[in-house]
Amino acid sequence: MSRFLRTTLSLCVLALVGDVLVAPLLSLGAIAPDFSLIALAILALGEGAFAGALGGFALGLVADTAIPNLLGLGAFCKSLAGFLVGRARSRLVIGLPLVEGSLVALMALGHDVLYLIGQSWFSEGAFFRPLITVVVPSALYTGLVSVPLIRLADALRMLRREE
Amino acid sequence: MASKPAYRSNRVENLALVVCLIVSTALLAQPEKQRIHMADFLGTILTSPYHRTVDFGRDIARVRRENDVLRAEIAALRLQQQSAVRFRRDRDELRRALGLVDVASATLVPCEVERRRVSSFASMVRVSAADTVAWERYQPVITTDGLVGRIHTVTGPRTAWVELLTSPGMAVSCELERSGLPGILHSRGGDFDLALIGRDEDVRVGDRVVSSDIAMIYGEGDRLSGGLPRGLPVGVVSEVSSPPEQLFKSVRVEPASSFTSLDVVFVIVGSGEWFVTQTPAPLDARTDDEEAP
Repeated sequence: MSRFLRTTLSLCVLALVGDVLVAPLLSLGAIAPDFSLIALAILALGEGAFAGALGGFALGLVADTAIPNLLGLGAFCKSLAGFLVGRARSRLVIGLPLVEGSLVALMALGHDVLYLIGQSWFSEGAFFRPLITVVVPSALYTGLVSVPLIRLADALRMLRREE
Repeated sequence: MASKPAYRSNRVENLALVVCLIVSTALLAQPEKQRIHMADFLGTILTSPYHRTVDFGRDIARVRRENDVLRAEIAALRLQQQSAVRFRRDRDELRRALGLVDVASATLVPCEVERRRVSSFASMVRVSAADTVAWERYQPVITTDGLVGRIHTVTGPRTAWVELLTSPGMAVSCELERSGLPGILHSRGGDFDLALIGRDEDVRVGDRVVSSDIAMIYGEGDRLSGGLPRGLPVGVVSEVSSPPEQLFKSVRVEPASSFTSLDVVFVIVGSGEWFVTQTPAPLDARTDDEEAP
C-alpha cells in the first residue's frame, strides 16, 4: 500500500472515529475538539496544499451531510483551511508541540469563524455570542488535543518535511 | 535536492483550491430543499454504512443494561397507567356530560437517529422509522426527556430530517408550568433564552418550562407551523435577571433533552392530549385500559 493511501485512510479513520465516538466523550457542553480538522491539519502538513485542499473538500462534504441545510459551507471552509496549512508548512518548524498546537488552534479558529459567518448569512443565526462562548474555546481545545495526535503522526512518518 | 512532483506545483495547488471553492459555492447556491436532498443522497453513500455499524455496536453493548432498567420502568409505568386510565375515563365522561368535544389521541412513533453531528453548529438530525409514517412538516419530535425539535424535510416514507431546537433562528412558544406565563424560547449559540417575560413577572430558578399550544414561529415569523401539544417538557429555568434598561426579564433555560446524545426520538403524529404508541402492546402487557372508552 502506498504511503499516501495509508496516510489518507488512517486520517479518514481518525476523522470519523474521532468525531463520532471520541468527541462526545471529550465534549464540555457545546465545546468539543474537531477531529476532522486535526486530521486535515496532519494531511496538509504531510502532503501539502494540493492534498490539503482536496482532503478538506472531501472531509467538509462528509461533515456537511449531517448539516444538510448548509451543504457546501463545510467543504468551502475546510478546503481553504487545508490549502492554507499546506502552504504554511514550509515556513513552520515541525516537531515543536507549541508550534503545531498553535497552528491547529489558529486553523480551527479561522475555519470556525468563516463557518459562523456563512451560517449567520444563510440561516440568520447569532454571531458574536457563539464566537466568544463556543468558537474560541473549541479552537483552543482542538489545538490542545491535536498535539499528541500530530506527534503520533510524526512518529508514524505521516509528516513529510518540505524539500 | 529532489524536485517537487507535478501535482505539488503552485499552479496545480491553486487550481485545486479554486475548483474546490467553486464546487462548494455552487452547492451553497442551490435552493435549501435541493441542498437537503443532495446531502441526504451523499450521506446515504458516504456515511450511512459507517454510522449504522457504529450504532449497531453501541446498541449491543448497552442493550442488556437497558433491558433491566426498562423492565423496572415498565412495572412502575403499568401501575401509573392504570391510575391514569381511570382518571381519563372520569374526565372523558365529565366532558361528554358537559357536551364538550371528545379528546383525540396522538400517536408516538419511535424513530432511530441515523445521522447526527456533535458540533456547535449541529442543527439537524436524520431519523428513520421501522414502518412507514404519515409524516407532515412541523410535527413535533420528542425524547423521553422532552421536546427536541420538529420535522423539517421528509425524504422518504420512513425517513425525514428533524430540525433541532438548537437551530439558529428557531423559536418555540412555551409557558412556565408553575405560573402559566407565556414566553418564546430562542437558541443563543448553545444556550436558550425565554423571551417576552415582563420584568415584574414572578419567575424563579428551577421553574419548569413546557410547550404551549400556540403556533411555533420560524425565522422572522414568515413561516408559521401548527401548534405543539401543550405541556411537553422543554427545560428548566437556570438563571433570571432584570436588566434595568430592559422591559423584559432575561431568563436563561437549561434544556430538558440533550442534543448531543440523541439515539431514539419520538415523532408525534396527529393531534390530541393523549399519547399512544404506534406499536401495539404485547398481549401480556394489556390491562383493563383496553376496555376504556
